[in-house]
Amino acid sequence: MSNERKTKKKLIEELEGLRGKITELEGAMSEEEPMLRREQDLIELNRMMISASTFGIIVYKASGQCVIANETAAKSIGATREQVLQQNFYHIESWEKSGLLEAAKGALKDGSDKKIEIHTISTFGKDIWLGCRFTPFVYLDEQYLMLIFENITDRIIVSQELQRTRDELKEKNEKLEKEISEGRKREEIIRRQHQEILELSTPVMKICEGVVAAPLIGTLDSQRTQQFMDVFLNAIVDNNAPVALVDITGVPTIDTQTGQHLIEAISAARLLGTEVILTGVRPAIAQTLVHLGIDLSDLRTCSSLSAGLSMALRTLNREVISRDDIQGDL
Amino acid sequence: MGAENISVIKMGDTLMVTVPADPDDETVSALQERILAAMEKHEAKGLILDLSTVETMDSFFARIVAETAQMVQLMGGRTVIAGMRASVAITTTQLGLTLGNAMTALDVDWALLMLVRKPAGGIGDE
Repeated sequence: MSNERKTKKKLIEELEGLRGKITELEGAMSEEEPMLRREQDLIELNRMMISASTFGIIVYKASGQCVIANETAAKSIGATREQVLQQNFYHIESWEKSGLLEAAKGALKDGSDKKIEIHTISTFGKDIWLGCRFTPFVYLDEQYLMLIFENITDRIIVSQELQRTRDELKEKNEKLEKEISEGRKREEIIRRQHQEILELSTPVMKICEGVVAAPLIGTLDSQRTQQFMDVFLNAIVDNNAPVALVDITGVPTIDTQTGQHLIEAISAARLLGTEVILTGVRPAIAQTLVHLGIDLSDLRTCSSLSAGLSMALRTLNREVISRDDIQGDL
Repeated sequence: MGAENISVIKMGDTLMVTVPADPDDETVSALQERILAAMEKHEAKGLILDLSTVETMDSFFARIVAETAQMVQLMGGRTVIAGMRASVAITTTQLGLTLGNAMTALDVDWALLMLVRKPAGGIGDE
């Protein structure tokens, strides 16, 4: 009995000792646990950062095998993450074509950063512009290559659009400038011809000693009147002509303004001391003048140029006579 | 420019006055005085106003010329304005100025002919 009790007591003691040890161990464990959890948290955070990044991030081993790829990278090239993880960049056709392979090799060889902008059709059939950056690094004695890239298709499209618009504008601008210069040339020609017509339309000629004639053609506006007056009065002075004929046979219609301009020119000639005779007053013109009430009463007028010429000669005390008459007198 | 460089020349029955190139109002007024005084003194029958050197004509000048012609007529003489320049004639017309009933001639030659040949009227009055 006493032996049994002894054994029991011993067992209880042993059990308590073990319990103490367990608590001890548990205490030690609870001290270690937060540290472990922190490490796990950090790893998780890194993973989150990589997957949440708006940049495509892919890490390759030096052998070309892909080890890390985030969702953005896979989406950008139109693939799934698993597909990307299976790739080896040495065997991607599009890399070789776009020059990406060369840049990757260069980065691995030099151990330095390489930046490149490429246009490619990805293995998964996406037509994209990518701005890529290769960063080689060494981890646990093994070389890795990190590729960070951004889809710049939108930016490139916009800038291409801009360039095209700029080119179009430039072209249009050149065309417009050409048109303007042509327009200017045409304007110049019109102006010169207008000037020529002005000069041509007012001939003033001496038809016999002391008589000048000015046949007017077309309508008289203020500009033409100015021109006509200038030519007319200077011809009178140059020819020292006491009589001048203004012929309006070629003037289709006369209005008050034209009449006023005529009177102006004739009064100016009078101031010079020249007798002005208006000739070529056709019936229609005579009617218009009377209806409009244009007063030409202090002006000598004739129906035709020949009548005007004989009136001019009479004024100068001269006469045109037939030779027969002279012979008859003899 | 003053009244002293206005010369009134008597040629027979006719007085000859050459108007200076750019007369001011004072000169123009003096001109009228001198002409009328000479008319009275010489009992002239005609006056020739030579405007061949005049480059500009203003309204005052035009009025004095027209008035002088009228006054000369009242004193028994006739006035011929001679040798007006084409440019002066144009501006005078465009300003609406008139020289009244004064006769006009291309130059002094014609003016003399007008006064000698047709003592009764102008060129067109036959």
